[in-house]
Amino acid sequence: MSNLAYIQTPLTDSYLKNFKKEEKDDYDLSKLVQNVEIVDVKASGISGAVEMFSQGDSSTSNGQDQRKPSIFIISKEKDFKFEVIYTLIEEPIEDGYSHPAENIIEETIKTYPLYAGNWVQSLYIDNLNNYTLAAGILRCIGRLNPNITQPWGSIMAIGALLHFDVEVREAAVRAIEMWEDPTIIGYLERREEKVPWLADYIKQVIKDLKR
Amino acid sequence: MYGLRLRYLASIFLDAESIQANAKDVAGLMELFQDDQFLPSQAAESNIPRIGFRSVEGTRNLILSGKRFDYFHLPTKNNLDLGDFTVFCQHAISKLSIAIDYFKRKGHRLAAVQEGFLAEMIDEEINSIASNLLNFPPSFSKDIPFEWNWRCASSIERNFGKLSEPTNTVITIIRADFKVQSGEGIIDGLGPNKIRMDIDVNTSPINANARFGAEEIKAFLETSPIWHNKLGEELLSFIHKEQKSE
Repeated sequence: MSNLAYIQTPLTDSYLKNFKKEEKDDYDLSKLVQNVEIVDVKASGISGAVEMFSQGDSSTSNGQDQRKPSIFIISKEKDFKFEVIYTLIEEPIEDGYSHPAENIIEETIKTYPLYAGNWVQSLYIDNLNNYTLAAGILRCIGRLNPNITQPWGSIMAIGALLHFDVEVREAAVRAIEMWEDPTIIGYLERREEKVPWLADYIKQVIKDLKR
Repeated sequence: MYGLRLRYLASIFLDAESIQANAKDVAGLMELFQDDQFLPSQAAESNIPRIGFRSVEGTRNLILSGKRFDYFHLPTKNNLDLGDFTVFCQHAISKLSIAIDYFKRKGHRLAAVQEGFLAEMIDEEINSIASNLLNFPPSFSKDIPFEWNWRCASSIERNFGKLSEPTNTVITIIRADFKVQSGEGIIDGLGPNKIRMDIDVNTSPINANARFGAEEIKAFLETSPIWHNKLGEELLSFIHKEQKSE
């Protein structure tokens, strides 16, 4: 259980308002990750923390391990999230042109294959209420090869189909279309999309996926 | 009882090694959960992709790993109050029952866990708890230790629904300088010396027969708050009992 994805709390909107585009180093990177965790147990001896005891089989508590990756990995995650958000804010995504965030995500997935999917997912969830950023993250991963974004990419897109903002829902449909993932057809068919143009787009995507 | 709750956890142990993260099952579960604030994510168990869900604010979580399905509530920076354990158990019944029914599984072990810090106390009260729980050798009895660890596990027969099962009843009480931190610093607001108390009631791992379905999960988790409350009251009364003067 020690390598389970760790859970993060969402970012506040306030950090976006305070975002200083001109000086990356001025920005408090710690605000990018707000995971709540027990980080310290004062140890009175060289044997380490008092939590170091064997619980045997009687206890079912799996500890807080899923929230405690190494400091190095946390640091890389913060850097990754900062860079993606920074580039998405700096440069709008345009159809037909690749976006710098795509490269950042792709390279990170290649370098940290065990972690990057979780980082992208938590970045998306953390920014769920900032629909432009949320849609931007989805559009970037939708442009990547499905070989490196699956299954977490499709899982993200399925969740995004429920988003309150039509821009995010559209980004999810675009990603599904780009990946040509037929396993989602049934779910797409049962979704009730109330915005007519997006409902038409979904019907077209379903038709294409069935081919 | 608790000044700060760290986690509520409900678990079902089962054989789910073959269940890996995939879009079809996530879509199926989402339709059954009917909860548009409970978003899917991919969890990683070693290098195996597993299905996870978390609420937008991060409090409610479900991870379907190879040997156990865990539903848990965590405090977040914006919401330190995990609320009532009974309410948590109702949430857990819903999510865990849907998950095992969807995957047509039964569990062989059930668990309900609360973890947290007791309400703030002055040093004298904390030292009194140590004296009530532990029998110190001379070197430690004069200067009461500032760190200690008390843990107790008993097998207790308990009834839930139509079943009677031996349950491990595990209490852990620890004094240490815990810090609960977020990315922006210490968040708990409690003093440096805290007493952590965890209550874990779980069915024995000895019986490995897959026998717990949705009905049994419901019965176990509906009864768990009663067991936990009774244990909590008993423990509080025990750790705060007045010392007899010699």
